Amino acid sequence: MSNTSENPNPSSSSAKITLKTSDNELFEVEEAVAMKFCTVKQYFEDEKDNDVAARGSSTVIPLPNVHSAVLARLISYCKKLPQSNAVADNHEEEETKKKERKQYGTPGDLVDLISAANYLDFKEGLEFFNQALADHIQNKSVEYVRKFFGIKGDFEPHEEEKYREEYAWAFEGVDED
Amino acid sequence: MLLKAGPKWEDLNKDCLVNVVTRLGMKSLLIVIPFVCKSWYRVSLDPSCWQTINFQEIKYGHQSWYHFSSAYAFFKSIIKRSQGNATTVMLPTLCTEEVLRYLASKCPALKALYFPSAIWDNSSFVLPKLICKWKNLELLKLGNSINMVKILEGISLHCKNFCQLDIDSTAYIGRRAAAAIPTLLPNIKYLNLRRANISRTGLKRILRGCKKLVHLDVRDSVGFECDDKLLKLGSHISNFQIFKDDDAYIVGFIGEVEIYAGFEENASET
Repeated sequence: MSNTSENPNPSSSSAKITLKTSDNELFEVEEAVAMKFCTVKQYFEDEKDNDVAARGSSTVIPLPNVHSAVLARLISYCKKLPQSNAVADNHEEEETKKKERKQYGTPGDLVDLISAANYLDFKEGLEFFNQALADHIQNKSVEYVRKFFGIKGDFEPHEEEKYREEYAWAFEGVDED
Repeated sequence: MLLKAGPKWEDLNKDCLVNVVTRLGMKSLLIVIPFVCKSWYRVSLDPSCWQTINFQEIKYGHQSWYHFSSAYAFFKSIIKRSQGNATTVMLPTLCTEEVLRYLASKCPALKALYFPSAIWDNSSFVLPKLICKWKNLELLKLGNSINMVKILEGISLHCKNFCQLDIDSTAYIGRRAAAAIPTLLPNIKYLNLRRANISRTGLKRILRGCKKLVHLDVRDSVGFECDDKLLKLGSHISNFQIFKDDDAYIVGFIGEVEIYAGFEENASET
């Protein structure tokens, strides 16, 4: 984990911003990284104080909806954004990107990352993690999706049948009835 | 998992889940997502899942999951789901006038409409009368050049934001149709005439008349030979594709391009 907890030393070359997570961890991050999060950016604009460099890490931005473990992951993703964000224009590149997306952990991790990216209004991250999650369920059966994500089917058998009937035309052997 | 308690699917913002499931395509949205659980079922019915409707995902020969006879009912039910929010529709190969009329009456917000590549497809016969319903139309892909002049007339009258025209698959673009492009769509930005058959005079008119073009693709087109004069006329277009991507040597042998067209698909994409 790359967070520097309770680090009072702001004497590095580039401007830093301190973010405080839901579990009260402090993260000192470079301004360029923090500004990827529109929610953070908005915070500064609302304060009408864009002089981040001068105030530096004396400003602490609270992120009550983001856990430190999630924020650490988002920050590390942010740092390698340039490569990951290039548009894949052929099959090989798409495969590489798919592999890259797979590395971002279990579906549970992705749900956390998506929720946090959504709260932080971090567009590139949201795009990436949404696609990563979609990769997991692409071309999979209902049973697989349920098992994979630990979702319990909450349809009563007769309900499920009723819903399936709505889609009857979409299934094989529709004209049995 | 990153958090000890573990995330709950119900906690995931609905917009996020919509974003994820729309990436899966129509088939998943119809026969997988709804049956996972009740909340996913509700998500699959959300109109925002149906802003982009790609009927071309349904392939011929895989008719097991829908029946020819109920095709119209199927198309209608899908279009209905968008509740008028659909902005991009890729029409099916089975498209009929009926489907097109229904789409025009239900989806006024349409921005992009794609016809399938089919020389025999005649659903576009009715298109000139329907164009007026789509005031926000920006992109139109035609599968052939039937009725093209009338269609472009409708666009120039009703679609103020129109900027992209694609005509696919060896369509023959006659003298009148070629002249109609610069006359009726002088502000067009993207024009894709790949593999079309267009005369040199027609192409010259387009190059002279469409000053705002940023993209023109006439690769593998027949009917003209590329030379410096044409290239010069098109010098204002930042993305002017007239050669085959990989085989620039083909310049001057445009007549042969047709022969290679079949192999071109994969070669130029890499």
